[in-house]
Amino acid sequence: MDAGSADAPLLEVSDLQVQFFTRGGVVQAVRGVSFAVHRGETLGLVGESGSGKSVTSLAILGLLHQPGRITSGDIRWKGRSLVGRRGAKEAKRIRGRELAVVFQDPMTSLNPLFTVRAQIAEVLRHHLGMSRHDADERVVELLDLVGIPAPRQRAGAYPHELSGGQRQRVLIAMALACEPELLIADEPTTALDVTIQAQILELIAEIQQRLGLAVLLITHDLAVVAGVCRRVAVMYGGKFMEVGAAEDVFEHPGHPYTAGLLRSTPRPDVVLRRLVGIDGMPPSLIDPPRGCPFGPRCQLASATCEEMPPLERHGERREVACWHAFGHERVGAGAPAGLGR
Amino acid sequence: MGRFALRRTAYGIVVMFFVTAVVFVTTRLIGNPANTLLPLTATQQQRQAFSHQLGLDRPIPTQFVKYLEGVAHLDFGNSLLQSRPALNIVLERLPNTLELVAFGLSIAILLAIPLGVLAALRPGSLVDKVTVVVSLAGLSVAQVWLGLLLILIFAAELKVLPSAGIGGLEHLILPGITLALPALGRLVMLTRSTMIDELNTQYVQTARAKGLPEIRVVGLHALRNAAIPILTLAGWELIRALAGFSVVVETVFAWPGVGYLAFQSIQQSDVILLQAIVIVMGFLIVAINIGLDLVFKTIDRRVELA
Amino acid sequence: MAARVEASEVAPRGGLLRQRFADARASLRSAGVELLHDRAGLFGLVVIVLLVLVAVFAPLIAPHDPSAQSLFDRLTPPFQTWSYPLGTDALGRDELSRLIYGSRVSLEIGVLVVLIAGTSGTILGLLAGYFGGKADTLVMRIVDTQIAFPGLLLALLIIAVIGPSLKALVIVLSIDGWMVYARVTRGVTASLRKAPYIEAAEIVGCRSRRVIFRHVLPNLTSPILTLCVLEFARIILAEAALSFLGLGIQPPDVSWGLMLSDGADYLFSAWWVVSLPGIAIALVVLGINLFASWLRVVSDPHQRDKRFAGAAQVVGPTGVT
Repeated sequence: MDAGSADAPLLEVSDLQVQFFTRGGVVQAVRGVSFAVHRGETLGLVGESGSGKSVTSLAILGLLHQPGRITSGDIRWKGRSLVGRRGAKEAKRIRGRELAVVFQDPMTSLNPLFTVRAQIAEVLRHHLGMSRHDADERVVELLDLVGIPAPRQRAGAYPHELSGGQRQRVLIAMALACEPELLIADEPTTALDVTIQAQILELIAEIQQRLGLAVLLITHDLAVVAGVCRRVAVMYGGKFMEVGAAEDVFEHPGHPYTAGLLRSTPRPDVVLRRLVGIDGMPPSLIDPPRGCPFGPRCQLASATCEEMPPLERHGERREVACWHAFGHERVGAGAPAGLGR
Repeated sequence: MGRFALRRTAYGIVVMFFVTAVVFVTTRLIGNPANTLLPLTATQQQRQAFSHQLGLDRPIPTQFVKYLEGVAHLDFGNSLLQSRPALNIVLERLPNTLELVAFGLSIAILLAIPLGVLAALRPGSLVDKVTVVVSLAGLSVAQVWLGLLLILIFAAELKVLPSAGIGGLEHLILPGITLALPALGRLVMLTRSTMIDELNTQYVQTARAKGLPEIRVVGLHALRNAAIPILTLAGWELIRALAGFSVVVETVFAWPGVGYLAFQSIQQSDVILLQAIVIVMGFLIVAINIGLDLVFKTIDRRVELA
Repeated sequence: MAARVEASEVAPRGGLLRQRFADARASLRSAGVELLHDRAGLFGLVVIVLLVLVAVFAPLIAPHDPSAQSLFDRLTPPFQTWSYPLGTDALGRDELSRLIYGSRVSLEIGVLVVLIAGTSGTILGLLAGYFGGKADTLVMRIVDTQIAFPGLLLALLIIAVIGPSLKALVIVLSIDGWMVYARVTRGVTASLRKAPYIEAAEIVGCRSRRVIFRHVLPNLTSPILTLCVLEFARIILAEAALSFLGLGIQPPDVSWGLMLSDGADYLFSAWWVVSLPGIAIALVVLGINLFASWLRVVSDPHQRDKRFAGAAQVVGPTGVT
């Protein structure tokens, strides 16, 4: 754990359940997820499409729309609940201020009719009551912080005048405007070119270190996590499969799903004739299986897997939800090629 | 911007040229102008004199040039039945039409936007369903029938409002509503669907994620983007009303505007007056189109770079 | 826009045809299910079907000859007698029969204008969008110019000069109506033109005509169909307005617009003479609009997802992202 993470956690999620009441049935998107993020800590939430990871972040922020609802569990920010009617008010208060988010698609996340300056200043003036002049100055500072060249000129630009990478930097600047304590980055690099991806991740890592920011990074890409996060949680079928220190998990994955993910990540130093994947499809969450959600695709599955395994401690900093934890071959070659730390 | 204005104006002139040409072709070449342009009681001699006077015995291109000259000098000839310059008659009535159209469309726009936004905020709710049904009904009725129905209810039965003519505000209400209702229906439907789209965009999500108050998110971020198609439709409704739909409403209420004048001139076979109306309104519409284009250019910066 | 790519250009004709039928039947069935859920759309379809049936079988359904006058029975209120269930007008003509025969005229004019304006507009738009360049500029300039004309006023002028009749009405409404088809078709075609699979088809060696028929037209059917339905409604309203002004259908023929103009004279004494055609027009146009809006939502997969608005962002292939 990082220094300074002692004491109460900033964010605490307890047994969160989120459901979507659609015409096709009730989709159980998140089925009992618990974790905490402390000051200055970096947690990566990894999962494929359909695992529930983005829904988790929306729930935390209080941005779940109809027909989605938090049906049970609690989310606490500095001890105060963000769930329920009063919780929603609290969520609104801290959103953009103490708790900020950067979303996936920079091409559509900025309002095309307003300048970059206007959109960032908006946050400063609403939350911090800054004057127009002060806010404009701060905007230039922020743009400089995220590495936008000629920030004073660029501030007057409209979103369509900027490239994808630049727009994502602007969004990061916007998120950091009020000096939040936790930054949620939901697939921040997925929609970008590979070279730009690396730059943005470096930026996030650098800012995290410089400002002592806590980061919750949500992604499907293991390499992304490796570069930025100390801890990682692997999500599948709406539940956590494994939680632990990133380096550790990648070196010695405890859950067969994590092992499968690591195995299927292509590596530049290994020549393969075919890409390795995980057989099968993610489960439908409208009528989820009662047992382990990964069961149908798991090579180690047995009769006991009909019953959902709880997250159990394995060693001092690891939790795995599997009856057959560590029962597969090791990956053996360490963290996936990505950004070193 | 200046270059754009010039280009649009040049284009407008081209359009006017074609409108004039079409009017010319219609009145001079279809049928026998000496028959259509003269009252039925004229004698053969009078027809021949008339033909010569109008230059109908000259080759067509010459006729057209002469016609264009007339139009350029704003000389549309004298109305057959009032024996005054047609242009003057049209210009006398024009303010009344503008008053009616301005009133009607203002109601339509001022009501449509809040209703559309409200419906979009709660899609599928009772408010939404009622709004949609009423809007669809509004744009489905024949304006003729709507006007007559309103007269029947408010003028005849309830005797609250006058049934015809021009005067104070009370005379403006019924024809204003009749003109406004279909436009209101279309505007509400468009506002609603555009706002629903806007409220689902990623940038509105971002605005909410910034912790901004919902009023600002909806009223500024979403609505400003939605405004473009909505105002485009509003402009189109304005032109639609001026391009002829005011004829029906004015006729039902005997509102002394250009539309009613058109109806009267048809009844009295005053083709010269009718020509003048078409060309003058054509001018007006082209001018308004240019104005609207300029306005939209300034609002939507993306258009500039597109 | 849903793009349908054919499995193979060289499959045997019979096999491909059967596949096409199976696909069409499957999509019709799912469309049918959707329709039952959406009561408004169903109402619309029922209205349209009723209109067609009434118009086609008019002579069998109508109790009287619509122009048969009976001065003795003039201005009979509706719901009074069985012989004139909806009353009579000022000349003693049966309102019900006039409504029924009036639907014929509405249908006839609507279909004719949609066919003429629709076909010419679509063809021009197709040529403009597919071949681009000069053809495109020319057609679109004409469209833009004509759209800027004072439509209804010009129509009034033309009809005033050539004399009112059904033919005049159809001609004028067609001339006024083709532009919107051209614009929509051109828009869809031009954007499809840039699609990679069209390029691929051309590289393989397909001639333009084949590409147009096989790849472009199927994607046009849904927007054009929706447009046709909406235009049909607009034409009914236009006919009503023109006939009311005396420039549409002329007596002794009967149309709903003409009935409105007849009724206006007796507005205060016989409310039904005006209201019956007015209600008929309103119901039919409303039904058409409801059906068209259902049609538009169902045939475009993007729109279909939007009905579950908020969820669409978050709900991915397995139900969740």
